[in-house]
Amino acid sequence: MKRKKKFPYIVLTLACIFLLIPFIATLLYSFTVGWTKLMPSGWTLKYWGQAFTEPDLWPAILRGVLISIPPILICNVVVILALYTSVVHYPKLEKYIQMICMVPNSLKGVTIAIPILALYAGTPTIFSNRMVMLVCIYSISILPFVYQGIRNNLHGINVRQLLEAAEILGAGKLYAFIRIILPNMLSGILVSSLLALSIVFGDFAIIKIIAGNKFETIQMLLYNSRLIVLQYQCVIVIIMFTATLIISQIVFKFQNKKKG
Amino acid sequence: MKKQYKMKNLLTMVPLLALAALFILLPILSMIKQSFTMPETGVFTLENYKAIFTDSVYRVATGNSLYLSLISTVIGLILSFLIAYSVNELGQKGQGRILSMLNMVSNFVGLPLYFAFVVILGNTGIFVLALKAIGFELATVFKLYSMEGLMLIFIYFQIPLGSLMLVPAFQAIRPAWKEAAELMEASPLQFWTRVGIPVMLPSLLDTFALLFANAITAYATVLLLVTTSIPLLPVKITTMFTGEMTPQREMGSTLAIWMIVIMLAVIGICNLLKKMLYKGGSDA
Amino acid sequence: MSYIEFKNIQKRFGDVHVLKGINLNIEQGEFVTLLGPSGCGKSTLLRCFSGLETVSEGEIYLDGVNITDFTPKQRKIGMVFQQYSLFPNMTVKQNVAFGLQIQKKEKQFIEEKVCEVLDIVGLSEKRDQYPRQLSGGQQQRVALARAIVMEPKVLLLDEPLSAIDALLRRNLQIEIRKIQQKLKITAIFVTHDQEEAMVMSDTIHLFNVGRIEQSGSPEQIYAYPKTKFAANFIGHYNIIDMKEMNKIVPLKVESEFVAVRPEAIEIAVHEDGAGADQVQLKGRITGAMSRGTTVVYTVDCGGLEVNADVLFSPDGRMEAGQEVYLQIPRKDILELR
Repeated sequence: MKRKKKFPYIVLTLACIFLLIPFIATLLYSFTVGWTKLMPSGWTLKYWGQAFTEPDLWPAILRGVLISIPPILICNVVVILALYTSVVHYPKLEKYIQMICMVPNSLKGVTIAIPILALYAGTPTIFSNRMVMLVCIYSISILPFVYQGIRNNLHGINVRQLLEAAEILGAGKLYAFIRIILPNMLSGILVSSLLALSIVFGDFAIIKIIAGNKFETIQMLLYNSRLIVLQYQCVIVIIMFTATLIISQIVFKFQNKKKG
Repeated sequence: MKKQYKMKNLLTMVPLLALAALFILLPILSMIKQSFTMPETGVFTLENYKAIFTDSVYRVATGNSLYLSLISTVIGLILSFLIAYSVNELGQKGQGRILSMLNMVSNFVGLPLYFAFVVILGNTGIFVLALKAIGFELATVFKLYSMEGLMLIFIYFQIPLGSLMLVPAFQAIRPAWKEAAELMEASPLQFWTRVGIPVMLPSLLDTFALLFANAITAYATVLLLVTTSIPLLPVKITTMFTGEMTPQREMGSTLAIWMIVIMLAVIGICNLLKKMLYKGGSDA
Repeated sequence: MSYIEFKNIQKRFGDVHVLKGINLNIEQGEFVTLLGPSGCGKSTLLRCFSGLETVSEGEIYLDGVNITDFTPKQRKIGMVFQQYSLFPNMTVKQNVAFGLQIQKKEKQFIEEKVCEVLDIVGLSEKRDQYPRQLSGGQQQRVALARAIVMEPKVLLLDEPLSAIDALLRRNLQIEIRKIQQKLKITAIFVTHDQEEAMVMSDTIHLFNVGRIEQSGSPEQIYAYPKTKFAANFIGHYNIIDMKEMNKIVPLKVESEFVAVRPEAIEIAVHEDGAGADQVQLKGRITGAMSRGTTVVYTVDCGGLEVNADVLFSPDGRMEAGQEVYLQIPRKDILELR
């Protein structure tokens, strides 16, 4: 090694401090009785107990998971259908599929939800139902993530050659898809679905705009509790964060395992 | 017969197209149409757009949104650049740790982030009270419920995103280039200004566009922190559709289209710069 | 009638005319190689035969039956692809059993059959591993097993060894040839590697831009290339422009170019007087390159550059600048079309 490099360590130490302080402070605060001086005036588990016995907590978490399931299913099916055909039959179309799927990467949250709300709210169509609307908006929001996961997966396996090999061995197209291609896509589908789950789970803007208080996910629960004591909110923040963290860690593991 | 067979294959594209048409294209088109419509009478008009430039409420909201998004994006990008550079200088193990930390923090957005900042810097935040205990009023230099507070939170959530996007870009700079430059007696600064940054330019511009889009559409923190005291586009737009008052669909549509135009303009400029400045062609 | 007949096969991809009237007969049990540079149409012909591609014009017969419009499934053929065509979610055994399962054969029968072919390709102990746990060479042997377990009428091999490194490749070449001979299976092999074609084939068909340039046994192709392209592609032939040649030593040759194998040329230090069946060229050595057992001398014969192979001898080599006489037997000067 030549010069000893100090600069990177200084930068990263400062970055870690800045980025971790809000998180650590929230965690500590959730255990305090009060913190009005230099040091907390006492420690307690009261607020954790309160949060976990809160009758609305688990239903709220469950609602978040439930509302994410239909969009994940819809999005996966739609993207798999389009991408699979393009990979097998029309490689040239893939560019356009990518263009469509990446739109929600720029138009996000408010800019997706508001136009849909404006167009369909109060119309006699099925889309005016707020739950249906929510599902549709989420389906669009998670499109880029589902697209990327599935595209990487499809490119990772040599779809055309596998299909040709299967065809020569006498397998029909559908059979080959179900028996060979789909099993090899499962990990990709899982990863992108988990990512999508964490997005829906972490969404506040869309649920607030579209459903308001009619569908209380944990985000809305937290929003509605903003006037109660801060410690209680810290507990909910930590719970939410932990849930997202678990999901993202699973994703991280999966992605690294695939590379290895 | 062959044609028919091919058309049948294209049917699988229909669901995606339908989804995109029903929930991206149509809503946006109808929004554009609304934005050119006079409220109640329904006649074509440019008044709504004129209002954006003349009515001070909208001008302030636009100005605030632009200011907040641009500054937080630039600062976020610079900090992300430094962090990504530093990450790249670490060993494999250190890299893994920092990356998973960044990955973890990147999930810390929206409401939870707002509460975390309230805990440390809110009116009864632990830093505020701790500093008061030793005789310093933080409020004299910094208030969370203000533009500075917003800026701090925005920068906070830009950093992990920006860093995670830039780390791969740094990894694409091959050590051999650095060695070659060193053999030609270029200083590290010369290397970065002449080779490193130009090579990374596409990634930097992509990151800039993404961070900007992220900032200008940010809703949750804005809603809670400064609801009405500092008007910003996303909150302004949503209240026009969902607020307690009678909805102002036409003006809301105009503002929404206006925000989308701003976003597209920034993305477009980034892409244009990418094409103009990056002559080497893509490496992939 | 031959076992396989291609009759005037034409193939166009849009405006690109890939196969321009291929006529080809293959006998039962023959190992045939389609040889040529990339983009010459050899793989396309193979894919047309497999049914993965349709022909634009022409007919294909297999065992007396016109199979031109058959689906791949109906043709009863086996195919080995370049690489990575094993189903990654299935073990070696499951891969090999796949085709038989589709045919709904009895379990017992499948089990026995799979064991048998895995034994033939020497991978019995890898039966429960997944493709990613195998080397490239092993994967290709599984692919071979998966094809032959179906007892296909014809075995198609589409550059199966091109992604495998040199040493292993040699072994696999020999192994594939052995298995083919043992099972007496008709095989069509596609490659761009002329040495590989020489080692493995009964018959080689040399392709050039959508046409068959020359057909014959490896020996025929090697010793008597008929065209400039063939001479260029097959070996290190000296290709001599007759306009140049006639300036030095006029030959009674009608073609524009002739080809001479470097090893057919003898180098003499003194003028020997050319025999009636020899052509003698005076020249100067400009370079020497050692190739193991031989040394290739480059000789400048009055503007005409000729390569000559001489067996390596430890007595020393000739120096650059030295004046020499090249003697070429008249019969080794091949006229090219």
